[in-house]
Amino acid sequence: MALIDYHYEMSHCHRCSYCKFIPFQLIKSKRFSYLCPSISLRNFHSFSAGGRAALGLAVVEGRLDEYTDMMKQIVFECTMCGACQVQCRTFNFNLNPIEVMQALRTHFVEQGEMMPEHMFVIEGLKREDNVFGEPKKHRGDWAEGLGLKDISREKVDVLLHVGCRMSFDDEFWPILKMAVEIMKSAGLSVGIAGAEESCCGGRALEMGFEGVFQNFAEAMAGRVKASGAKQVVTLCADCFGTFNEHYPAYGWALDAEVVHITQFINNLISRGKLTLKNQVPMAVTYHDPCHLGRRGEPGVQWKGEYKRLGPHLFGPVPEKPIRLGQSGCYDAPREILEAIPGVELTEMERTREYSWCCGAGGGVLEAFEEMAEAAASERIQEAEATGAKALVTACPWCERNFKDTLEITGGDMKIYDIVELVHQAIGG
Amino acid sequence: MAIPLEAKKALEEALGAENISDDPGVIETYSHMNGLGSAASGYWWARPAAVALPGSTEEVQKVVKICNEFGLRFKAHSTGWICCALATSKNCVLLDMRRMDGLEFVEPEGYVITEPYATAGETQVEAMKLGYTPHLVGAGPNASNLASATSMQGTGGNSVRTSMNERNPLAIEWVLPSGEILRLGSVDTPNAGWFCGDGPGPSLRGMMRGAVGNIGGNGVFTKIALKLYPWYGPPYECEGHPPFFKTKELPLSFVRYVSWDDRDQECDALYRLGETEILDYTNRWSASALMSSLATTNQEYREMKEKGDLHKVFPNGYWTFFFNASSKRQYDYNVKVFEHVINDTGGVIVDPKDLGDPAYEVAVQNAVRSQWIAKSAYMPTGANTGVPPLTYETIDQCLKYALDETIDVKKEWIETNKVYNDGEDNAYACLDENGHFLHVEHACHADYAEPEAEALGIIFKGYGRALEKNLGAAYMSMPAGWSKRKEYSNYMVAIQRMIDPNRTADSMLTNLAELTGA
Amino acid sequence: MTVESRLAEIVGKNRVSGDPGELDAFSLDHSYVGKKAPALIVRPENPEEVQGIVKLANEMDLSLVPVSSGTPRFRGDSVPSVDGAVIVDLSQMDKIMWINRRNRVALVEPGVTFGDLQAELDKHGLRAMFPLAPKSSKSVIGAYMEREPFTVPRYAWDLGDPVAGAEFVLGDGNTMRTGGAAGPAATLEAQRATGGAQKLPMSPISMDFRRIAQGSSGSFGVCNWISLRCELLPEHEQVFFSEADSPAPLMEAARRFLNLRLADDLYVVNRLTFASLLKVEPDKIEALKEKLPPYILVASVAGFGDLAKDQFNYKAADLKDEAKKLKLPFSSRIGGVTGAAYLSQVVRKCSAEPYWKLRRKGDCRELFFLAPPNKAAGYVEQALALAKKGGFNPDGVGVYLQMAVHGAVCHCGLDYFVSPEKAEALKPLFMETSKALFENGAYFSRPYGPWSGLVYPRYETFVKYANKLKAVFDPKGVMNPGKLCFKEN
Repeated sequence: MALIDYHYEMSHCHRCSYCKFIPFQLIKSKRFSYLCPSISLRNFHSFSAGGRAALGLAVVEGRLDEYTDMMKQIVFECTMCGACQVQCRTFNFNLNPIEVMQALRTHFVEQGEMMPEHMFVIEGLKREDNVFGEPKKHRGDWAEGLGLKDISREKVDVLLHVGCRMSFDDEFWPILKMAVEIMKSAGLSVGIAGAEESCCGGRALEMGFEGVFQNFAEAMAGRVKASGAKQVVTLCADCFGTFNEHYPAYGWALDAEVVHITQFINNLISRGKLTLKNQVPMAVTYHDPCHLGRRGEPGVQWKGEYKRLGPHLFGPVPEKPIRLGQSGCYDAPREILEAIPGVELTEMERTREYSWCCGAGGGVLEAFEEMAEAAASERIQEAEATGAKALVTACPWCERNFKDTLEITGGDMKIYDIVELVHQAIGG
Repeated sequence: MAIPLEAKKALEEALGAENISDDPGVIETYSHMNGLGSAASGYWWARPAAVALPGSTEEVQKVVKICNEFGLRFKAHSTGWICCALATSKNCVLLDMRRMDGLEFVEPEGYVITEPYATAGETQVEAMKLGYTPHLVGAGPNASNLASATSMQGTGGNSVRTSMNERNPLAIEWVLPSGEILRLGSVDTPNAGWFCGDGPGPSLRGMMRGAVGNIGGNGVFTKIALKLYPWYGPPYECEGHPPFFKTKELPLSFVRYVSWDDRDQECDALYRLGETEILDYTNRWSASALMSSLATTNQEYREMKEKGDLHKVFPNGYWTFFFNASSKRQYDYNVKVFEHVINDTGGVIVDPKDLGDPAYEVAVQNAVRSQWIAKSAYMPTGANTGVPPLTYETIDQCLKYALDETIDVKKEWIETNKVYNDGEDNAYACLDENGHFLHVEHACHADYAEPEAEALGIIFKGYGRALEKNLGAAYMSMPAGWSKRKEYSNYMVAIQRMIDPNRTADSMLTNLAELTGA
Repeated sequence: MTVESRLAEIVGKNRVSGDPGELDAFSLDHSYVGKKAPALIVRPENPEEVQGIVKLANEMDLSLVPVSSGTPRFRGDSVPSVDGAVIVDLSQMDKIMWINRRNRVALVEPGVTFGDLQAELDKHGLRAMFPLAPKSSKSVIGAYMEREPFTVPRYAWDLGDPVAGAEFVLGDGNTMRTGGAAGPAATLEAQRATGGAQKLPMSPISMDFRRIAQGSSGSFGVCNWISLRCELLPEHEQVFFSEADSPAPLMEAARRFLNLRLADDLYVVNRLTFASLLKVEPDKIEALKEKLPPYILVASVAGFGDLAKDQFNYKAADLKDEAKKLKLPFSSRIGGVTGAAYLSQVVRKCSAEPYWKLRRKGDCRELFFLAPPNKAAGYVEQALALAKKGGFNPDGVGVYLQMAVHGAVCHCGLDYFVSPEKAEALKPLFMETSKALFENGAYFSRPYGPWSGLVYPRYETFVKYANKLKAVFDPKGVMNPGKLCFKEN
């Protein structure tokens, strides 16, 4: 939907500021009551979902004569984590802030008002099919010698979609290999696209480049179909969220079940196909990646408009699905951690659909280092407050950002992908 | 109006460039409001000249002095959830107090020192860990306790126990429009702390506010201490997911809906219930308001309304009553006397659980955390205003006289489709201080997508009616009321001039007075 | 025409007095405010006469000192600070204007005493909030306009309680009503015709003159009447006592009882105060005192309204349980004094003559301030240690600790019982103690007399704006000039 299509929603923001706090029923302390990394750093109301709705309204009503750098910052210095959406909809019938923010970004890009740093990503995507602009031919290097099937040559049960981050950041290759080992232990035929794999397109969409996204979505859908895979497994929450939310919302369907590695592993455990026998003595806390959790909730394509239901009563016709982020992937990683002998899991105050974002998403990592670091630092402090010694997550973008932040801020918190702990537990 | 370059430079030096903005995108977002009070004028208000983010009292002082120096106006807001937070003049620097969000609990004295952006909900969470609760304004846990205590109104369902928030400040720190820092009460006595706000000698709290504050027109309140009240239970906890979280067990707590067919009996019961001193929360609403709390979409709301089940249960307004007892004996007595009074006055008691878990959650979350009142107040149309007469005074005056006047005024607006028809009696009321007085206001909704929407007139009409019928001193909040009792309002204006010689504070009340010639 | 004759034109000749004996009674009190005789005393009988007097003061540059209560007086606030002052003795304005049971409210003029008021309220099943055994001549308005604490902290939402509405003649001669009485209707009758009862404590819009006037020693105007919140008269009531060697555990218990809303009258006194409240003759005071523990907590339990007996029973049982939890003795008898005797002599009672503070030695110097309840005991101990060091027997100091504002504050009253001839000699110790307590955090919220020099230098901006405020309401400075932080004319 175009920005103008959100006029009713944008004009009906109440400025209640719910989008700035976790649900008031669930606040456990003043220290960790805030929800939105964007306004928590910049403090101007403009940097909240409500502020962005007002900005969008001003744009479509022609109240602004120019696009300033500050406006671009307001629009793009947001991780698109979707926490505001969860909170806003608990109170307001009429506003879907994450959709508004997506439309606002798309509108800005259509007007030529994009972030220069994002252009590096987009050009890389166009040229090399990945967000880093790395040579496409190296995309499958990580799998050398693993004996994985190549989906361009043979059909597979399971397609492992690796994603840009893990493909080109060799620090993650050991984790990928561990995952492959675990998957193979289930006796399934696992394949990859290797150098032919391309980006899911999610980053491009969230940076406002809808057309670029559509191209990648189309390619992905075709690749999956051709592979014959019944399941697409990914370790990347960003890709998971893109497949689950964005693809259906934009009319794309993958002919396979989309499964995050945590769901895959948890399924193996519950079916007795994976035994976690080794002690992993560790006090941990778990960080919900936004695109695995609330933005991993299945999306729905909605075509309709706000109509008058009666005097002074308006609403979306047909009814618009209410997205509260509750159907994302939350239980699988927790059940895995609970199943690992020796692991003591303590939850942070902000968890599940009202989890605090790591700061890496929505193009922030690429264009707004200060915010990425501030968000991650805040989350690490929240993790420390639990008494945990390790922060476990299930997304390479989160992990990368936490680790990079710790290098700057210092600190003893260990960062793990959940696969690493599983691997230790199976004695790998 | 663009902010003079020199003024902007001075503000940047005072706050750091990152904490001041006159970017059109920023100031535009501070001129939008479609919520509390906005039914009066639509959703765009005046653009401020700039927005400042002070981080300390000293920085607030610098901003105010710069405004004085450059002929700018200023207005501060906390969480900003009411139209009064917006600028009402174009040369106004808005102070968004978000960076000042401190909460300091002083124990074992048992009070809290709060900065502007600490919300009532956050305050309650921390207070309950120590066995207290603050007053919570009916607007919700997202509202600032400092703002309602100093500058606006401050009524809430737990006012029956905690009173409204005019009555709760202890010591106060206040940057006057002149730029001077005035502290009230004990805080300037060495080593005394913030436990008292009156004196030494006369209480200058009297120039801070009355039943209503000056809505930003008296300067900036940077820090206040607030009285806390006992909370007997464990900290309130919920589990589950939005929108209907499930309240964990609240020991020795009691919540019921009650309605009466007869207004006289309703009043008699309220007087007697107040005298029992058992209640921690009281709230009058309508079936329509309950439905808007329960529904998650407008379609659902419409269907509920058309079905009319709740209207059958509560054909008139209904009350929610809640208490949390300190002992089994107290609990038993409370229940016994509660049922005695209700039965004796012909009331009908409904256990909210009988209407389903969500209805129970609405009741109990409202009662403890003021969680749903606001949704009841102005969903599903968005824009809302209170229909005058809105008042504080005796139970009889509010419910036997003022309420009918509001119904009468609102009826006319409903008939012409200027406002939403949510039932003529959709009045919100709550007892204060064990029934020593009562607050009533009548929710009124309008959606500005509706071509005939117009709610500003209802306010003036309502105030006119209130003044004509002599209903309640609080009505004099509007400039129309000032002229009714000039011997009072003239002094108020004189105080305003005394503390703000350069007319630097952007006061909605003063500007409205100028507009209406009061 | 002379001032006297002009005043006589307003109130009648027989209500203006220049009699030296009468003037002398207003020239000095039991405080350390220096003696200064007024020039005249005028005794208005109604608000119109008060207004006439204030207008005349503006015309003739008079200084007016409004006085509501009779003798004995203790704070120096009614002793003129300037020469030629006119005492406005309001004791003749003694009407109980209205009592309304349904709304639990009474309207009283300044000359109404607590005894007069309660006698009328009894008939309506209501009770007034009493200061601790006020002198029989104590004006209700005099007490509450000076933010005097009362004995039931459960009903003290605010230091300004229990005043709801009020009417004042301001220093400039205009009349103003506050709270629920402010309007919109001009008359009380018109307000009542639509259910109003002058119950709202807050005034309209963004100003509350009542607050400004309270605690100001009449520096802003004269109060013609107040409406005050009353509570239901208990049908069942009993007084319990607890005891300890120091006030600290009793204050802790009092806070607990207050938080649980179990007690009505609730305060801590030492044995000297307790004995002085109950006995009249010095030797009997001494005898009772010897039988008493050092500190006593007084807690009354009341049942009222619907199911009063049930209410009383649960509160009494819970209170006993709480005392047990705190490991404090708890009984309805102490030192041979029964709770019933205390109830009949002290609770909602004015002091028998002579006033209890003067019974033992003939004079008394009051040192009082506010503190958080948890710090009150420490200040008492500090003051008594200083008394001992200064050669004043700490046993001769009465102690009264009274929470207000729901326990946010505690009024700490130290009564130095002294013989008239030794009172002046006590002054250095009194001031030294005041200074030491002030520096240690004691808040002199009503800094009468010499305390003003101690407190106000720390309140520079406050003083500046208090004076600007006075200029708004009393531009010619006719109202009790020179008190507190206010300049003399």
